[in-house]
Amino acid sequence: MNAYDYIEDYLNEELSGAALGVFEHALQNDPELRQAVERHRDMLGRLHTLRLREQVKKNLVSPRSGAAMLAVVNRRFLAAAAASVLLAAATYFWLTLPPGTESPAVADHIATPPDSSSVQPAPLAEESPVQIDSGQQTPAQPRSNGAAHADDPGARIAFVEAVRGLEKIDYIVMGETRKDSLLESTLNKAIHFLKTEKPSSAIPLLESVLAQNNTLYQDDAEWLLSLAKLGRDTKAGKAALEAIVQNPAHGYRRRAISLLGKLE
Amino acid sequence: MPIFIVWALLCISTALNAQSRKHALLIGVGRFTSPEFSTLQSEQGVQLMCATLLAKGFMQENISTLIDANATRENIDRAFARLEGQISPGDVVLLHFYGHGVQVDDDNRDEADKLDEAFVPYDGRFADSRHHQQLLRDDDLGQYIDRLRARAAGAGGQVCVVLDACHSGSGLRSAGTYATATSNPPRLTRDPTGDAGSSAPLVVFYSSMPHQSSLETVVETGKRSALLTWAFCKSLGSLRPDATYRSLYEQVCLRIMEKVEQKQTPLLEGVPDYLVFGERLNSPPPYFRVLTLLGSKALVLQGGLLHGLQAGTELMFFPPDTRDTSRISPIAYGAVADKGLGFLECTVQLDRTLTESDALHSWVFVRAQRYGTYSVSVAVDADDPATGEILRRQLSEVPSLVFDSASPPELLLRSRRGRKLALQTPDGEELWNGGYAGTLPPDLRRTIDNFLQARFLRSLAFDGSPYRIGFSAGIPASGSPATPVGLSVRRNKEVTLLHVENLSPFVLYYTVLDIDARHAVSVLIPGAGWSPTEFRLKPGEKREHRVTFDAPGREVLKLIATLTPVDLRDVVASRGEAYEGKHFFEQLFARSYRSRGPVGMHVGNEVGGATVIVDVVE
Repeated sequence: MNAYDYIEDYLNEELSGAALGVFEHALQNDPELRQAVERHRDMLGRLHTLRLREQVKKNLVSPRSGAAMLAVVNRRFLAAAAASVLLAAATYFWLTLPPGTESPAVADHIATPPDSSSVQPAPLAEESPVQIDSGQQTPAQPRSNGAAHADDPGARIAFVEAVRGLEKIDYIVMGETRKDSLLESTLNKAIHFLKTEKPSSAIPLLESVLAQNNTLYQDDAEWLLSLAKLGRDTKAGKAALEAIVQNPAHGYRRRAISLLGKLE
Repeated sequence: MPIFIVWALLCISTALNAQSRKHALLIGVGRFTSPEFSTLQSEQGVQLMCATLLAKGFMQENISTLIDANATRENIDRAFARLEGQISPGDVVLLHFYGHGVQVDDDNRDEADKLDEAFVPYDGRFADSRHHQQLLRDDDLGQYIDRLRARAAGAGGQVCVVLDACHSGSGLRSAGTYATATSNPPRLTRDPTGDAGSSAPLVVFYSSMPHQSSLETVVETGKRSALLTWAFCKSLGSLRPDATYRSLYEQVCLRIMEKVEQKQTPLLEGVPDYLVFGERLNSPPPYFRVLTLLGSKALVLQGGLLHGLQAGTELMFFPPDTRDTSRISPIAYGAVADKGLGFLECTVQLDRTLTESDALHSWVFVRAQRYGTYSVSVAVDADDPATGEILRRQLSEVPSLVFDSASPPELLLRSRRGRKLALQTPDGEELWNGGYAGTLPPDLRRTIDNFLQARFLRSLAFDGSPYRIGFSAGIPASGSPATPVGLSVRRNKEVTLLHVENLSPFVLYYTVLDIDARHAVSVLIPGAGWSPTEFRLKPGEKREHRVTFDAPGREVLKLIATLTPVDLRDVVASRGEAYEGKHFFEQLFARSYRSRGPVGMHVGNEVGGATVIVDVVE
């Protein structure tokens, strides 16, 4: 029995009988195993926190009770009223401008008419809240994602192309280092979120992997995090990609250069 | 009738023997007596290799396999002994290792990083780098391969090794290409080419650099495989008949990159310019490889200022294994762009669109060198006015030379009686002399290039670089402290001790260039037989090298530090041969650098470095 393969089972209290005895014996005698167990425990804790957070988000977005629904309606009414006041003020301001002048702030936001010949991808669908550990997504109402790429369709195309090619991470190191299946499963969950265009859900997972400082997965996590950031915000994504390009020893530098080239 | 039967049997036997000249020993260890190693799919890997070799003309009866419980250390030793007995002169031998690899303490001081690499047999045990049993060290493996090479020596003989394990780079220490412990930088103990006739040529595919892990992962069949084995078999299966090990290696690299990008860097060692399981070809001219595409008509090339590429340099793109660029048309032309030109990489604008596959596989040759802002002023002093005029006209066609009467010349070309030429520095040092028959002698051009190249390198300064590295020299016997400048040593007698220390928070690789008194540039470290991957320092780590100088004069030693290993000797093979007796690096530099700027004009941003000056006296 290789005790390292049973860490997750042990922490999930799924070991029993002789297997549990063997594992606990190994745990007593192997300090590295103890460290690995602590690392896994920490990671599970982070995932649990994330799951709770997602659950809270889900409950906020999908209110079930009548009282909660009423509260949402009230909030929407107040928001609509505030927006009406702002719109009226802006209209008054615009009407009182001298002819021929234009507010720079307004000019900056005048949208260029779309080129009918170019590809106009649909805006990213915001991720649905997801049950992390169930392995199944809970369908929920799609929300606006804040139009992350509304001003940069090229970035959206680059993001979609980049995540389409992602493959499941499943490494066995042909040396003395042991496989860290928990980190791999976390990365693979993040890849799933990216491929289903839910970058915001991928980010905390990837940050939790990076916090482990595991050199085997560091570059993977940084690369995926840069994609997740790109999926949410072009500027942040570019900055993350540039950080990878600046490191000649980074395992994903070549892909980062190529992706940045597409974004230019 | 009986005579005819005997004759027929002899013919059949001869034919069978002719076909049986390819031998293979495939060793896959995926299960171990020791619990610390994870299980690997070595059996599948060996089966894949076996099927690939059968398709490539190997006979089943000449393929031996050792898998899992059969691959004990003792059985591996026996298998090598048996194979040695089966090999005849001129045979081709392929060795494949698939399993775990570890690093252990060096036991004979032949490793730059003080660590031996070792393959783990079924009964191998590994607690830490000091406590282990039954491992197959690189030194042991190297000796086995030396013996196989000796047996296979002869026309057509060849030994190819595929070593797929963690830390496999340099996993064949002492297999004919490595130094003994006493010299550092080392000398070749034996020629890897086998040209001497005493041993067959060797080519080795390593799955990763010495400090790197090798990976087993899921490949497109849905099965798990070690990456080198998978990429080697897949590439070999689809290889053109006229492909060499060089292009096979490049395909292997690209396939591995498709799977895991650059997390795992395979290495090639030995003689890449052989047809796969076939005869030797000429070495190609120096060429570059593409790193990645940047949009449809631009790309990043793996070569920059340090490789002699300047803005405007014209390039030609050819399919892999192109050795004669005059016989086929390039698939594209390009030029080095101003923007994106660095020490190690540059951006190239293409004249047409290339597919990613064509670009990544292509070999890129220099079509026309450009010198950018670099130039040198020259004056002609001829006792015959007519010859002086002809020389000025010929020199004016050399783009890097200028005739600037307003400032003192940096080089002086003297002509005597229209037949003798001499190139001198203003202080009278003669750089070259020779005859003149109406055209500029190539040696003269090369000497001018060397002068410029040396001056460019001397001008490199790294003050602003984050890759800080300490570099100093001393004499071990004197007990005097190391000094960065002004060390005086006697030629061929005194050993100079070079101290290198990584003062940065990064892991750094380093290479040392030697610019001698006659402005010739050579690569001092890594020496012949060593890989750039082995000159790697962790933060705070120190290393010493012993060198002797054989010519009097001032030696400028330039250490260049990078985050990734850079081989300035050869773009592709980490321990390959030199090109036609002249170093690749020198060829690349041969028409490169022209500089009129002040000393220290170049500040390294991608590279760090330091300078040591040694005065060699009689």
